[in-house]
Amino acid sequence: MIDVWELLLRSRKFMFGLAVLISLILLGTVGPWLLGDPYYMNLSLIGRPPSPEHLLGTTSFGEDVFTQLCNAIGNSLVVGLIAGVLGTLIAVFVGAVGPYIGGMADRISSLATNLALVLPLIPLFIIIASVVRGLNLVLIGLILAATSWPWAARSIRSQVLTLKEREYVNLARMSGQNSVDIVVTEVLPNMLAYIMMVFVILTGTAILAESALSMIGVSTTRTITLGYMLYWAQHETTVPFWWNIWWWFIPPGIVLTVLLTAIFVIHAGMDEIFNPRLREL
Amino acid sequence: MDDTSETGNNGIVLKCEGLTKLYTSGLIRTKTVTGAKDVSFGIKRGEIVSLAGESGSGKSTVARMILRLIKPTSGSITLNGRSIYSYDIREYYRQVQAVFQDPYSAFNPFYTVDHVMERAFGLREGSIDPDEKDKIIQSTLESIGLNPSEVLGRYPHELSGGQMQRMLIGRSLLIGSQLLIADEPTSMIDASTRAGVLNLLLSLKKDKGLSVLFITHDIGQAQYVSERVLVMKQGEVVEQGPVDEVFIRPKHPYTKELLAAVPTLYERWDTCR
Ligand SMILES: Nc1ncnc2c1ncn2[C@@H]1O[C@H](COP(=O)(O)OP(=O)(O)OP(=O)(O)O)[C@@H](O)[C@H]1O
Ligand SMILES: [Mg+2]
Repeated sequence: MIDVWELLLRSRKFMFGLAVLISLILLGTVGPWLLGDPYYMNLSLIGRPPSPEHLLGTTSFGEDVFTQLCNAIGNSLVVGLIAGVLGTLIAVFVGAVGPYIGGMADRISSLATNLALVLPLIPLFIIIASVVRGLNLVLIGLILAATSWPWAARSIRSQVLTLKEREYVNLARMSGQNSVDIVVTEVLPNMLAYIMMVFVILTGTAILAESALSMIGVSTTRTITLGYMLYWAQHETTVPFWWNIWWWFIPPGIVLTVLLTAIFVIHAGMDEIFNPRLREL
Repeated sequence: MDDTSETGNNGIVLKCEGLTKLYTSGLIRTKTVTGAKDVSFGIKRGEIVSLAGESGSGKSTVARMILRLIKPTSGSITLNGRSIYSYDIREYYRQVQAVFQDPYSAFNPFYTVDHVMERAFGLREGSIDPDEKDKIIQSTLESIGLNPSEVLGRYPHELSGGQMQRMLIGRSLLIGSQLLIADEPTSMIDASTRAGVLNLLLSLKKDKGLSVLFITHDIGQAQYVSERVLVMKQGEVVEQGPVDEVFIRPKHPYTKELLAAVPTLYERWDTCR
């Protein structure tokens, strides 16, 4: 088990993805702190192309694109993290504890999983966006978390069902441990690797989902995220054609692609290590 | 609890009567499989009883019921004259412990093997300081012929099957249990270490008065360790009695079949090696 973590540190894919991700995280955390107010509109500098003062030019409101981009990275990561952490916790709880206790608890958790699996995400979002004024990042993270966990809970459930048949679970029971103890100390540690993968995937898909929803205008319209930038770049009409301001929508597009690719590569690296069949030694 | 004096009933430690287990699966269209049917037997203090039978005959089912890992459909199991379900769970496991078929599955790969030994202290009353714990673990391991420095601090995959099975037997000694359910403890380890494990059981029986339910599909081993044997087939005990009687003058045709299979089994092992 310990060897797996060492292998991970030697995995080129994992380390490469992690390096890219960390640079983006730095941009998203340090950037906003060094640069000024991302919403500041300099009306004398509207729709300017990239220049030494404005590395990525300005928007058609006169805002600095680079400043906005750094904030967008940070905020998109926040949404992803909230949804990733919460979604993983829900998936582990529903997927592991229910089936372990068995009986009624298992049936309830299965039912909840199946119900959540068929919950339509986009209509739900549109309804919530129209009802709730001022959707904020935390709220969006929560909604994404609440809708993203079922597939993970299902596969965690099937793994728990296999792991609980191991004799060491019986031995733990015969050492006087209760069910919750056993799940936490005997079953879950063997799934840490998989749970980490679930977290990475949930975080990535939440970032993507938030961007997609922003682009169609049903997410936050006040806080800058990558999707928010893309939305405004498309809908702004003060310049005759929106594609004339390429420096406004290309950077968030590239960053979003790079960010998701980094997360995907991290996942692929983990997959190679954690699924011995894929491991090339 | 004063356990030593209350064996009662001619020193019978464990008694199963009419033990039956039906496995049902499926919610709507249920399917029923008979795991065990009307199994009755007793184990005395310091006695090794073998439970023999082919694969799927219900041996592990009986073991799991005795270990309170599954509930019997009907029938009763008593330990020292009291229903096993009347004991507090920790109190019960202080007296009844097990060694399983697959030592590799009995140790959690996430932890070093020490974990299993340390966990066993959870069954004791009161707290015990770490130094004391280490001392007890070491002396227990030494008493069953293991070198503590060779096994402690290692991961399961770094130990041999025989070492692991010995550690598990050590674990139940450390707990101080009086009844050991050994479910095919030697089937996954090689022939040379197998004798060591069997002899360990024999010496524990002699020195500590340990009672053992020795489950096996190998008649030879049953003959070697036990004085009494039960033969199971399709969930039922078809024959039981003293080893010599059952194996030399088998009454049930199935026992004869089993005995006839023994030489061929050994031959196959020999050619495999
Ligand atoms: N959890 C279960 N659910 C349904 N059927 C089961 C279950 N466990 C065992 N069985 C069935 O009960 C019967 C007895 O199984 P058991 O494991 O007790 O056999 P065994 O004698 O221990 O065999 P082996 O020597 O292979 O270990 C088998 O037919 C098996 O398929
Ligand atoms: Mg079995």
